Amino acid sequence: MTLRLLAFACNWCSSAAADLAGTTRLEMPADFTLIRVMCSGRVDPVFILRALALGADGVLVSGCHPGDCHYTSGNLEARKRIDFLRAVLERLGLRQRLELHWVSASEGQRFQRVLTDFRARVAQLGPSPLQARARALPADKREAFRGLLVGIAESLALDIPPGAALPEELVAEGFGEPALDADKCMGCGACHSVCPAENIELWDAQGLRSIAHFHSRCLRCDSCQQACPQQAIEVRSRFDLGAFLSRRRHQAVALPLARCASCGAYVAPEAQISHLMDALAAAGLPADEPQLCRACLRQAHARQMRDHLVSYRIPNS
Amino acid sequence: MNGGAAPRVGVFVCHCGHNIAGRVRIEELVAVAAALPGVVHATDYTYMCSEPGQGLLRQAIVEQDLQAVVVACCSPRLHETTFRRAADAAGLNPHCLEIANIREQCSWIHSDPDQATAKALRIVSAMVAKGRGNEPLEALSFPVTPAALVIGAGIAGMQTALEIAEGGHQVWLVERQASIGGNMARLSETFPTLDCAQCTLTPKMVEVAQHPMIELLTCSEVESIEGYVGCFQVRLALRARYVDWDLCTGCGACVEKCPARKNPSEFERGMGTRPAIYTPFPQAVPNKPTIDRDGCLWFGKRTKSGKRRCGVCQKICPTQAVRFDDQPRALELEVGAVVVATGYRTYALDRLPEYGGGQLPDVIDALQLERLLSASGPTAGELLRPSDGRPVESVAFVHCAGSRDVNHKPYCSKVCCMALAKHALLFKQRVPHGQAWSFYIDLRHAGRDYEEFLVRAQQAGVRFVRGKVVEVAPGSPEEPEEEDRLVVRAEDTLSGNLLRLPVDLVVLATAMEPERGSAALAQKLKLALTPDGFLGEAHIKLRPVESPTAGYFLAGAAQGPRDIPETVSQAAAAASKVLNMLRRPTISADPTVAVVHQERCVGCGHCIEPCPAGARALDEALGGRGRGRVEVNGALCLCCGACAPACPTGAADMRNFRDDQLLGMIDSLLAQSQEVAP
Repeated sequence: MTLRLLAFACNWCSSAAADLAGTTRLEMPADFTLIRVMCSGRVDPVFILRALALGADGVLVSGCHPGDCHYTSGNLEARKRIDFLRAVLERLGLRQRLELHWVSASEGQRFQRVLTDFRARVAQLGPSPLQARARALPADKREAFRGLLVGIAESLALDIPPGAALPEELVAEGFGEPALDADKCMGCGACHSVCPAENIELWDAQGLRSIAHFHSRCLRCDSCQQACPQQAIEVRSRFDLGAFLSRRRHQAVALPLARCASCGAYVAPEAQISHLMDALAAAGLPADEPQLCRACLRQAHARQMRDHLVSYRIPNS
Repeated sequence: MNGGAAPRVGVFVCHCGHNIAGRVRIEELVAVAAALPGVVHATDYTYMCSEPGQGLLRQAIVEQDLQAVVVACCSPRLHETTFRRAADAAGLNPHCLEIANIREQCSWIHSDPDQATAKALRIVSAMVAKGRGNEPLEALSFPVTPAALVIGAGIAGMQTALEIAEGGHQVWLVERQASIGGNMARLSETFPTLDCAQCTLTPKMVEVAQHPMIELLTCSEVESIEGYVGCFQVRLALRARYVDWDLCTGCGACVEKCPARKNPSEFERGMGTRPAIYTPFPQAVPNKPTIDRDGCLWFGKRTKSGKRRCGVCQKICPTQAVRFDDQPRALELEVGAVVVATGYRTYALDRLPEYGGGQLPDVIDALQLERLLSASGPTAGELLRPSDGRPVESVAFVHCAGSRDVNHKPYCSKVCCMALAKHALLFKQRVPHGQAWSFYIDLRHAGRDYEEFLVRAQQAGVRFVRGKVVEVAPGSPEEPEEEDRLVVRAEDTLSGNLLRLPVDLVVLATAMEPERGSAALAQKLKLALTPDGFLGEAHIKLRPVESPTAGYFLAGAAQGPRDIPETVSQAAAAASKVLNMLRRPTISADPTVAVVHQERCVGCGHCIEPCPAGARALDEALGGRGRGRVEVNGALCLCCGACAPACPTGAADMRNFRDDQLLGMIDSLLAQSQEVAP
């Protein structure tokens, strides 16, 4: 059986070990090809998913032993990412097709053994169940990651329901979700304005202000948490494959809206207005103006201004 | 690239004699390579690395107007440089040449010609896919300020400064204390020769002070360092000394007349006292006094009528050098390289209450014993008990006090085995009838003449007991043997006996730990720390004196426990690294650095932490929503690429190791293998 195997090897240790294996003429399976990268930390989960989506039967990543990394910690970065990706692939039944190993530059024989053993394990699994499908990848890395996972799930005819999140310690940097405390939130929309991924959506309809977000788009940057004046948001590391793949948005809060006393349009959430009134009262400022929408407020001010000017009009000379 | 059009690619297949051609069918490989996207020229030659082979390459680059080249041959480790030079000579940017490794990773490991040929094809197609995307790059170049900053003036810093200064470059040597010399100045004698530390150290101190290329800055600390390798802007904080050293002649009259004499001496580690105006020790360099504000009467409480209580030093000074209104100052420097040699301190005695540390005055640490043994110490070298000044007739030495102990420091402090053997031997020389016990877990005496030294100590009558001390406590007043003495309880694990020994003095070999403030300094300078808090090196074996951050070098015990010979050789190594850097007007760096596509960056910052070089930072001035965008300092970037996968938006990428290039390689590999699978 011929397999299609891919190995990513770092320049300093594992690729050098592969060279050494060659210099010592160690026979190896010919159905793997090696891609040399400067560091195993360069290997992007998107690369691995792309390879699997194209029908690769197995992907191996090999770096320096912990503590030996040419760049101090790149291999540990690789480990975090691969552990995460393997946990994701578990749900797709592909976990065993991805492995991470450490092989130092002096370990030509170990390189041969790691590869041969990996190949044997993949051979036991059989050829990839995926139908190779090459689609153009979007430039946005997160979208590319999601798109590849969606493609793989489709190709495997898997329907993954939301609700099973990975253990938090396995979730890679940058995947998360803002948890909104509906009791604290006043609907001001600060989170909506600061989110760099434009992931927090806000709309007013049917007498309610709604705030919602997509699981797949949160970058875990914590901007919303820092911006929230009510400390109502906690951004957590989270990855739920089902929710990540679905396009459904998660509605976090729906708060009743106050209407304009004059025209009846929405002004702001009631909670935000009462917060404002409390703040004004606390500062000893008058807080008894009628609630007006922005347009009506402008008109009212304009009217006031006109009356004021009229009363001071210079008599005709 | 040529204005966005697909580059014209050339493929050159090397036979390497029979090494490649013996397994891979070259003709087939060349034919398929010629049909790969973008390839306009494909050929082969027996030995591509030979002069005719390189000539073939140069000629084709010119004649075929090639903009990218793939040489299918041996590992890039062997001939990438060779072929890139050849390309350069023919006018092709060297970064547009890629190596397809079809020897070590193909013909040498696959005996079946079909399989080997199929694989060689995959490799070549992947490298063509990458090579087509390569951009012509110029090596980055940064100007170098030919001066160095050395932080810490113990033996490590002094040696480094001297070596760099001897190499002909300006050195700024910064020391927090009033005198240079560091911990070594406290030592009485040094192993394994037992020559006095002062005899080896003080001439070096004087040399440092007098060297025309060394600017010595004592009572000074680093406040901040900005910039990057070759061009650091350093800001130093100079403490107020209250004495104008330009006027002071170092006559010592003020020190002699100061009435506030009972301040514990830091240099003597509490074993002696000093006045409020003082030089740390008689051989101090610079040998000029400073005032300790906290101990000085002038700065203390005033009399009822509002008068200052003292001022004797100012009145007595023949050159009017005393300045009670002296203020701290700031100093700004520019240097090209920084050496961190901040040294060590010893684990605090009161962290070891089981040994009576910090509670019993006759339980002291090894550096305190050095002061008691020193001819210039508080007892003029006579070994007297700190509690009552009685001569010491028996000593218990406790090895690994805080070292190799998970409750304290897990690591071995390395120097204590030799240091305690030295102490025991010196004690036996001073008090021949005295008794010395040394309690150890293991004795580690690796080093030139070290094992022989241990034998000397054993022959002198020092009793080495293998076993941990359980407790050190005051002796029972009812036992005449123990009255006014200490009792050491220990197990001799070799004989299985439990020991109860009355002794006059207990010396703890407390663990070495990083000097106070070294973690804060590391944070300021963005230097790596090991879990033990010592400064981390770029590579434990291959780059042992460099910090992972370019331009920073390490010397001495700031990096971990080590003895004087090791420190001195490491200091020289660090200096040679610095000299290597400073002798050139510019530093050139690999241009395959990280880049940030600013229009994609949202400022989440996930790429900053994975960067081992601290080359990435958020900059608010770059716009974005809120936190700004990430910027890469190309001078610091190590080109590893750990940042790129951390970026969730695809903004972080690498020059000539771009995401789209690597994805192109993957695509071509998996497409190819379908076609040629047997």
